[in-house]
Amino acid sequence: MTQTMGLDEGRRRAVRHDSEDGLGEIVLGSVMPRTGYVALPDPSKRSRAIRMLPFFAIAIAASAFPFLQHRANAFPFGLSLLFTGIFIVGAFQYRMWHLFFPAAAAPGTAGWIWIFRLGGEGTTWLVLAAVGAALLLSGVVRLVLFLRRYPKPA
Amino acid sequence: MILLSGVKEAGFLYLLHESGLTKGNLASHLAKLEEVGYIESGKSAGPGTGGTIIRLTPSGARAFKEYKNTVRKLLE
Repeated sequence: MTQTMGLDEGRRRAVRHDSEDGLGEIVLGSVMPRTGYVALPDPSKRSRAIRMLPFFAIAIAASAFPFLQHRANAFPFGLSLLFTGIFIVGAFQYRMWHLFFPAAAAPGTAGWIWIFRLGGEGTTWLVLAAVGAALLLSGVVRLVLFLRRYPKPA
Repeated sequence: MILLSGVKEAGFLYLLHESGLTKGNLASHLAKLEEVGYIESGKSAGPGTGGTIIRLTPSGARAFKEYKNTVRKLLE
C-alpha cells in the first residue's frame, strides 16, 4: 500500500534507519541491509562540532577518576555516572533508544551499592556486570524487534 | 522525491520499503524523474548497497524546493 508522507519527512525517515541498517546483518552475517541502502547527507562543520562536545565532556569526567580511586564507595558511583553519560549520548546520537536501559542500570546498581554500603573491588565489577547484562538484554530485544519488522527479502 | 530530498543517495530497496509502492510502480516513477533530469541513478560498487543507487540532481533538488514553497504558500 502506498504511504502518504509529509514534505519534510524524507530526512526523518532516513535518520530512523541510520542506526538500523545492517544491524541484523552484523549479527547474522548477511551482506544486504534489510531496510535498503541509504546515505545521509554529510553533516555540517557546526553539527560535527556540536556532536563532539559530549565526548569531550565524558573525557573530562573520566580524567577525574584517578582522584576517586582512594574513595572506595565513590568509585563505582563515578563509574556508573560515566557509563550513564556515554549511553545517554549514544542513545540520542545513534537513535538507539534501548541504550537507556544500561544507562539506568549503572546508577541503579551504584545506588544499591551506596544504600547497602557495600565495599571492596567487587562493587566495580558489579556495576560493570549490571551494565553488561542490561546492554545485552536490551540489544537482543531490539534485534528481535528489528528482525520481525524487516523480514529477509525473498 | 520526498524520500530522496532528505538523503545524499538511496538504494532501490530503501525507496521500495519507504514508499510502499510495487517494484514496477516505483521503477516507472523513477524512470520518469530520470527522464526530466530530476534524479540520476547508477550502480554502486560499495558493499551492502544492493546495486542501483538513486540521488536527486541539483535541478531536481531545486524543483522540489520550489514545489515545497508553492505548497506552503497555498496552505497559508
